[in-house]
Amino acid sequence: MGDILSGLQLVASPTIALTIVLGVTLGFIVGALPGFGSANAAAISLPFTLGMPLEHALTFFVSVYAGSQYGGAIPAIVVNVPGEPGSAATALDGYPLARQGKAQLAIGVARMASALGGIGSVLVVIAVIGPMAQLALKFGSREMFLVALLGLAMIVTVVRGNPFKAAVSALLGLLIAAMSANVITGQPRLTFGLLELHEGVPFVAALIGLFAFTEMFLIAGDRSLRDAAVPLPTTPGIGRWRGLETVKSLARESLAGMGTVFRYPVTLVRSIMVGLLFGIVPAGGAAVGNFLAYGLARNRSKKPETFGKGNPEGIVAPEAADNAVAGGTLVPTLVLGVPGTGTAAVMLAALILHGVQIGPDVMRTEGAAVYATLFSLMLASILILPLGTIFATPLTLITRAKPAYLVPIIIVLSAAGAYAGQNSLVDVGIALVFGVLGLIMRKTGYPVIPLIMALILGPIAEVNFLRSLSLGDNSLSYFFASPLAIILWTLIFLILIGSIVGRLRRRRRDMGKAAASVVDDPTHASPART
Amino acid sequence: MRYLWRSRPKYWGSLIAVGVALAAAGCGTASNSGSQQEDKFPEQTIRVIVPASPGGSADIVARQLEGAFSKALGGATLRIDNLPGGGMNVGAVAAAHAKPDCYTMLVHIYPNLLLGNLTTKDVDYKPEDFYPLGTATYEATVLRVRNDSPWQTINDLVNAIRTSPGKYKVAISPQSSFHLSALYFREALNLDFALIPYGGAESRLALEKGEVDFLISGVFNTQSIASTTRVLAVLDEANKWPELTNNAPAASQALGTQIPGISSRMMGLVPVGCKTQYPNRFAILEQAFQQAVNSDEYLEELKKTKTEASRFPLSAAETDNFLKEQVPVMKDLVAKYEDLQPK
Repeated sequence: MGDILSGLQLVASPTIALTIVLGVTLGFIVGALPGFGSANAAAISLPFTLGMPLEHALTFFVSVYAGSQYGGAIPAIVVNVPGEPGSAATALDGYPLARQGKAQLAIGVARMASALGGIGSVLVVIAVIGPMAQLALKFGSREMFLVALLGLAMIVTVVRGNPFKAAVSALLGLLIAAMSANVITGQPRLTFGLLELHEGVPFVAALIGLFAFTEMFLIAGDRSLRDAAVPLPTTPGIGRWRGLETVKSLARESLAGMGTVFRYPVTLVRSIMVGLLFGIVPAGGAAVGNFLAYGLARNRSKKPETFGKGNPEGIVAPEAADNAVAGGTLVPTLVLGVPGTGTAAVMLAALILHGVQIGPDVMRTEGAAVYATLFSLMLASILILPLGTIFATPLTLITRAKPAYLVPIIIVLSAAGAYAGQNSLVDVGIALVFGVLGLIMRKTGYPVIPLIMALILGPIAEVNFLRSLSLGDNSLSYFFASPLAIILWTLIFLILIGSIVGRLRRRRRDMGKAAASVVDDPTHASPART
Repeated sequence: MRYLWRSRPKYWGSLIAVGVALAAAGCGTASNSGSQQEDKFPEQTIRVIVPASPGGSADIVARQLEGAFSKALGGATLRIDNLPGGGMNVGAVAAAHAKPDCYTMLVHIYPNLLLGNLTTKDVDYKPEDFYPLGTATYEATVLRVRNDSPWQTINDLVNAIRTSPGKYKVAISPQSSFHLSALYFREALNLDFALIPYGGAESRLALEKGEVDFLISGVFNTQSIASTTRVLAVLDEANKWPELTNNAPAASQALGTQIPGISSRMMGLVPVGCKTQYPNRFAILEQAFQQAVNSDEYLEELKKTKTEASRFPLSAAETDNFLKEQVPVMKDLVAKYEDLQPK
């Protein structure tokens, strides 16, 4: 308790408040630039933060993190180009809303969900950081393998439409994920002699290709879109630029969006829990957690068919989970020294360089700084509300930019983002390859989301599977030999059974209605198809 | 607001600098358009390639040395360029192929530097492509068990392994000095235990979780788990760090068998062309590196991370001799152990 109060005292200073404002602002900017990301911003800022007191440095990093998690949603909604890996799920319903001229509403939803996700997760973490670290210690290689398997099983809940195509996409993702040096023996597999592929296909580059490049290729390939301004808004008052009037109505719509979040309290809480779990257990972080939160929201919804067509609930789920991951990831980073995300890895470096011994003792030796960091994340989450409104409103005007200008600008920005990931031109080439792959998949009706999830989860599953085999002397019974493993197996089983039953039930209902069954997939909200 | 600006000018300066740095980063690498005059060196930013992500051990060494090194170079700007990937090889290859004008240097670790092209396919550099500026730190290898482990001494552990061959597991980081030390330890005593590969932080966590029975890792990098685990032996000639290692004996002494140990050494290097084509520039860099490693400022940085005992200043020539000696040793090692051979 003493540490919590000392932490609060550390945060209650004007310099901390200004650090948060600066951090959130910077985070928002790098988050909105595809691929650039908070991890890069944090790494570049690292040398400058070494002269600051520890709690200021940590405050700065968590603020950048929180700002970027929200900032990434803006381009995802406005142009279907996620700024951060976590925002890919936000595009599923955010982009259709923007196509309907409701970009402000969608961004308002994202803003409130992000803020509440951050605040909610920090409250939980503050209450139970000790036991949570204990929980993280229970996840050994075997359990991590099962968590990855659980994520793969949940692909079926995230993607609707043709299950065969989803399976092909997931298998392709697993194959691409295997393009690396074998995690145990170091044997290169399908790496084409590229050292850059030895640690696996760079994920950020792949994501930029599959979203940003693919989307721009589609727009460029569609004459009606290319030559005209994006056919947009239908909302009264935003149809044409009318100076102050427009800004006012944009702000009104944005506020309405923020209010919308409170219509989905269950989804909000559920998504925060999913985000927290994926923050604490480093199994894909926001990129996977957000899709799962989205899938769960749709499965539990009374109108699952409205998802992928601009249902605000489809933004609430991933955005709340997104910022909840930020809170959750602080637990393994601070207490176990295992960062779940790139930004957390830089924070870890800052802690080490500040002379903090990361490990089980950190709560005893640096309790006040840990709590101060958590409070800072909460403050940063709250600040997303006013700052986000100021920054995001002008950005939605992008939707009315002529594609002839928009496409080249976004391609250049995305290429720079792909390069920035690892300071490597090879990554830009990889992004281009994935752009073409995404184009083929979108044109032929294969969903890209199973591929993305398999790309993240494949390596986690592989390394932990091989390690578990060694640990269990090549006996498969090892995979069932802990209570947590049994729980995870049960969950995997329930998800698979549940999805089969759900599918059968839907089919029967559809047949009963004799309705025309149009295969529709949320990833196909492309302008080329609408 | 005014008050804040006045009260913490340095602090605000750094925050603004963050913004400027971010803008500059977007503009890419500055091209080498400066003069080639030997007498005015350095005139541009020196790029320090770190073949690891921020927070990795090579990265920490580079950042701790950065301030003192820059000062020793008369306030030259250093830019740390993290190039992770390919098991530290991506950064090493980039440095080997960099223009040898002494504006690019590399911070790397022995033995990984020598193992790169021996253990991994597609690695397009040789240790001879570099010449060292000197050595900065030294990290010996230790064997740790959990506090609640039944073994009190290294002899207890060795006896247990002999009683149940194949039963026990050790966590190691692949292709590190700790991995090589584990192989030597296993062979010298003819023991049968399984090596389970993990990343650095993961290997420490695996011991804490009880997923493995013991851990072979570094004296300093295991300090974060010092309160929940204890050292049974130091795999080095002698234990020079008794207060950090539960006063454990050196394994060779305790077990009465010669067990070769491999320790990591962090070093600064330049492409060999820097030394041959620009000897004056090389001399300036070498002198500055030595000055930095021996400086009080660097010691203060090491004290912050409680690693002051890791400082191990060696001159460029000493480091070069050491590396030359070790090249055949590593070749033999790789030839001997299938685990290490490129597949």
